[in-house]
Amino acid sequence: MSQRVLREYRRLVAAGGAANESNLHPTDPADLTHWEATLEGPQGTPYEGHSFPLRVTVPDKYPTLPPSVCFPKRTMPHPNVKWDTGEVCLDTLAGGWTPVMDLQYAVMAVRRLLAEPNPESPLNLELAALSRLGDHKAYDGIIKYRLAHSSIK
Amino acid sequence: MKLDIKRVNPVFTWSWDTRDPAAAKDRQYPFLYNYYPVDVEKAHLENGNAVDGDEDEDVCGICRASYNGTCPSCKIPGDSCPLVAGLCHHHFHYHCIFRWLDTNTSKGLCPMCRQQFQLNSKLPINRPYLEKFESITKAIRERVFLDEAFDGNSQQEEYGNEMPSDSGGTGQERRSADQSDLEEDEEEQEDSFYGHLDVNIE
Repeated sequence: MSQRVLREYRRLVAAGGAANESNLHPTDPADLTHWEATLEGPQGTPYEGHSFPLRVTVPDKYPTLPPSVCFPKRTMPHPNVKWDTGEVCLDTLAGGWTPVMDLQYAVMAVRRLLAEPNPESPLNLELAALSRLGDHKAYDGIIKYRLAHSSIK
Repeated sequence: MKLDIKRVNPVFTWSWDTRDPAAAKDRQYPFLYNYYPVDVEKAHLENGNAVDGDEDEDVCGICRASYNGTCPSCKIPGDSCPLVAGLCHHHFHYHCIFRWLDTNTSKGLCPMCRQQFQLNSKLPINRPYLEKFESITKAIRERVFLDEAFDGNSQQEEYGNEMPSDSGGTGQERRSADQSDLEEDEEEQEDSFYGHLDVNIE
């Protein structure tokens, strides 16, 4: 299946930087199973002004199986991201995946998740509980506190 | 003057025609509409595209390779790596769509439009595969039905949902369980996939 990843890589390179706003690129262009992207915190969210590295791993059976994505551990305070591991819970990358989607689509889906968290399927119970209670002040406060003390600025 | 023709070397080109069959009516040989050779140059003039470079050609949505090329596991295009056409007018390499439908995650849906993927039985190119697809989509419908019956979670059916609709840690457990199921299925599927290949493709 690596041919498919190769095609995506060629297309990203051909399209140039403007079409690739998350700077999705393979960690090692000779490998193409490990990719990196940088997500800018969406405006109007507590993540605004921060940028977040995202690791994307392409399984052997890609694109029948979705890529797996992960933030570095303890960098992303978000209801659908496990704080200690950086694991992301996103339906697009599980049951909602179809092989016509690609790596760039997956990264965009994670970016959208930053702006639209889903407290119904939480991996960060603390933030999800606050979100469900509607305590936006505490919710935003915790996120900003975590980000301010995170090693990634 | 007298000419002796010693040898003739005919050269042909072909490409898959994935245009809407309804448009085939005004073509010369409507009964051949899926074998009908597209006027390659004309098609490319219409698209304003260069002839080579798979970026510009119609590609299979799953492997992103040209319809006129092969799926990643084949070498020779054409009859050994044919296209199939769904009722939803989405075309894929037979091997690509089969590999996808043979997973639980597919739920038997077209990867493009998420309708139930069914072959258009009227098209000659689909004919050798009708039974195969019928049986696999039936098997998948049963598996999905059982999954849902045991989950008791009807919300799982909302495919457009961005998130699995479970709450708390159980969702996570289920997800990883699904994941390992998937991997097992994938291995079995690999065998059955090539099994089907032997049956269908000589």
